[in-house]
Amino acid sequence: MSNIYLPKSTISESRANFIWISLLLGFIVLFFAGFTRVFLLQEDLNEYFSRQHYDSSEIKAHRGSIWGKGGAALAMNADTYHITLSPKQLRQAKTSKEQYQRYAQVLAQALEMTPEEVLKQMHSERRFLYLQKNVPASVAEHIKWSKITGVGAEYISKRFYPDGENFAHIVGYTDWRGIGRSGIEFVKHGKLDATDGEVRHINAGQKGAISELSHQPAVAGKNVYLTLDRGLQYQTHTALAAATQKHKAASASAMVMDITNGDILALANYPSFNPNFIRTVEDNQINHALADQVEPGSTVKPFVIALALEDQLTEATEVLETKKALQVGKLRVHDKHVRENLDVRGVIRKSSNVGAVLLAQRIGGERLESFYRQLGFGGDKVLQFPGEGKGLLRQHKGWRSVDLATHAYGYGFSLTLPQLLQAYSIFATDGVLVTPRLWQREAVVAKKHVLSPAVARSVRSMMEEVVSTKGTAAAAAIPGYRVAGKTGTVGKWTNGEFDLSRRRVFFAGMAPVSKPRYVVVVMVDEPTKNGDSGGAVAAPLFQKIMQSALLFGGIRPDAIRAKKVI
Amino acid sequence: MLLPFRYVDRQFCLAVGLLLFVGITTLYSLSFIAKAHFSYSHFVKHCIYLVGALGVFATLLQVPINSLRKKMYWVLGLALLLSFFTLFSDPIKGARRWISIFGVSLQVSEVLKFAALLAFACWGKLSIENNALRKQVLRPLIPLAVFGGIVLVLTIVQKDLGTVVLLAVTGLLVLILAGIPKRYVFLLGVLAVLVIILLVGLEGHRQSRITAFIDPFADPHGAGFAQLQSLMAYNNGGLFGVGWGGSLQKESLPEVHNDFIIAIIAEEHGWLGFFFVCALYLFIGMRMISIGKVANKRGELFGAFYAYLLAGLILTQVMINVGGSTAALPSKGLTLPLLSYGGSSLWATAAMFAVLLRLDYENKLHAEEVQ
Repeated sequence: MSNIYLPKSTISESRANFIWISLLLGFIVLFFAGFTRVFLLQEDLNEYFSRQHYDSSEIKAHRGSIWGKGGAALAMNADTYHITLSPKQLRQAKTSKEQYQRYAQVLAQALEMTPEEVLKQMHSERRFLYLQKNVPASVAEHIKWSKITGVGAEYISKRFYPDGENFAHIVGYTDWRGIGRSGIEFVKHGKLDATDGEVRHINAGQKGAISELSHQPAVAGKNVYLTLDRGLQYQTHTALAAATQKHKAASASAMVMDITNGDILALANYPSFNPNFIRTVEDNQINHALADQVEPGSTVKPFVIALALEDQLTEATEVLETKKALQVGKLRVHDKHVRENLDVRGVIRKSSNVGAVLLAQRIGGERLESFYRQLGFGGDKVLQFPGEGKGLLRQHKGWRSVDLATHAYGYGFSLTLPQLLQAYSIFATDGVLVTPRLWQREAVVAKKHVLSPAVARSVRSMMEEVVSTKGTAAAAAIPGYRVAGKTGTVGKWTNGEFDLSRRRVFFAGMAPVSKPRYVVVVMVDEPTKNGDSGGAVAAPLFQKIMQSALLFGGIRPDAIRAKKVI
Repeated sequence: MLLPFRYVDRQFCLAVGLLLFVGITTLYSLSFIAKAHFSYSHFVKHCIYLVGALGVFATLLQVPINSLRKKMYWVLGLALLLSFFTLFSDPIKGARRWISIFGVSLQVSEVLKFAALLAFACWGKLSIENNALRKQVLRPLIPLAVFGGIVLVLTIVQKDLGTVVLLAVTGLLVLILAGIPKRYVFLLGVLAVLVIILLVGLEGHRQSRITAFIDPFADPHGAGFAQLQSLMAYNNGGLFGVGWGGSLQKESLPEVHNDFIIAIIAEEHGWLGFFFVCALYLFIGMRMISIGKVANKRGELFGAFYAYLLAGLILTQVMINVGGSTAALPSKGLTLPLLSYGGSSLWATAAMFAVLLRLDYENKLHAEEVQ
């Protein structure tokens, strides 16, 4: 160290200070650089943060149920599970052959499959698959507790229709997302629909949720209550199916109404479909009872006669010249099956077109049209259902003499089955029009008097003769009960003419006559075998349905009473 | 002979104690994470290391500065030998930085840092005493260049660019302090930048870290992941933080107990907590500089260089670590002294601080003698 050059033996103070200040500046610059960076990226960082740490889980809410009369569930949600399988996870867990066998045994037993099927799925190349769908909770629980690698159960709230095809047209169905697509499910979707709840929470990786941020409760859908009677609907459906098959018809429809309050107790069509398996069914979805707008044929004759009696243009005992054919303009009206001159009662009993036309000519087009409109023909939808028809009734000013004639026996205008049902209620209630209703807890519409009670009773007694050996519909008679009704048979308008080989037949009636309770209308489209008239096809069908209605309703037979009550 | 309490720099010790406290509490909070790489047992281990570090501290405090300076070559030799051994160790995450001695793994770069500090201080003392840099610039640089070359080669193999940068900065500081003419300072700065660029170009993972530094959102799941997660921690913390233990980012930040512990502190205690920690480091640095100045005045050049360089080393390391976590600098695999998990880092820091406090003690003894 004994060097001669020793002018300076300490570290320069200024250089030390320089270093200290540089370090200090470095700190300050870094601090602000970091702060600025975070500040500028704030929004992006917030978004990333919430995506990374916040999660939400859904709380499933049930869709509302659809109930029939007396608490019968027509549509409800059931807790089911989809059994899921991840073949990839099985492979990754290095599952041994014995384990595969054991797993397959357990699953096959639980899911009612063969072990071979399960094994085939387990060795699938796919990452994920559904082993079985819509499995009940008990089975899903069993599988969960078996703790098989790669097998899980996914909760599904499935729409379930206990009565299957009986109620298919009226109740309708939902699609896989739970949105109502037809029937009540569609009409009342807003009411039935449930709102799923959501919980937002902080997610801590594999440890799951650690803290709740917000909680939106689930809101279950509201229930819908219908007037339909499950048992009667079943009987109606069965009767329609039997009739359709017996007569090789295209379709058949029927409606039953309780006239005390207008409740529709049954509304069915055949053929139908099963809404539980809607993805595999595409046919038979038309609700003929509501959608079809049909020419009613002879079923409107009681209205013409009632109107003539009401306006005192005739008497029940007046004999009309029905033997002869009647020429109205270009139209020749003729009753082939009538070989005598009938009185007014006979016109209904034998369903005479000539008699009806003669009376209609007395009434006149203006009065006839206004009466039909009072009954609801060609007016509004009766049940306010989507796809329901309105019918068509032209203004009388446009009618020619031919039109007046055809309107008297049910051609040249159209109506729907509910309209016919509603109109027939006037005979059952002594002149009061009862509006049908489908919803329980819906206010009963104010009743409308359209006919004097005496006329209504008189026409009812005339219609009772229809259901006798002398009338057109002896097959509609029910032992022990007095039944009144009217047949109808129309040819379909095909290629510019009425084709009587393609028919539509009706029967509308009520029972018991002494104090009517039910009105039933039935319609069979294109019966081809074992008879093709209203009396042969529609009347027996009506008889079956009405008998069931009386039975389920606990209505006492009225045959014991004196014959002339009315 | 233990040091009498009155000679201890109490403010310095308080600052260090506070930093250790912050470190322990944060590691405790980290021990709750779901991931397995840091658990409660790691926290317990860290506490044991801390006790060990106190032992190292107390032992080295007894060694006089002069005898330490004379044993300097032993320390340097040992550090280089250990570094050499790392070449044959099993790589962890693609880097050979640890060697296992009796089942305890040791991060050699920490030993190397301590040794380099002693060596630089020794070199500085000699060059000032010989006035070497005034006579001739290049020849006195030869030992430094040789040492630098060895360290460079070792660290390239170890893939430890952080330590290279740290030692390069310390080397630059010793040159400035030893009185190198000003024009060479600029030249050396340019040289250092060139070396860093070369090293960056050499390794793909360093390149991607640079691009991630420029735009953390460019590759949010790849190269930019760590810095982005770190920025999210700062952002979530805000000014006052989410509270002790409330950090969510500890779940997603990689190397959360080492490189990114300051981000968790910022998340749990906010920018205020972050500022507090930075201020503590600056305070420690300031105390080091002032101890150095006292030593300088009394002609204890080795001690003075040591204190100045220690300030530079510690503060630079903090800057690299903190800058990496706020994405103000590219991220480097450097620990945060006193806060990060790890025995090697703690023990090395304890040794460095022991020498510093010994110097302070000798300064005070000297002052008493003068009086």
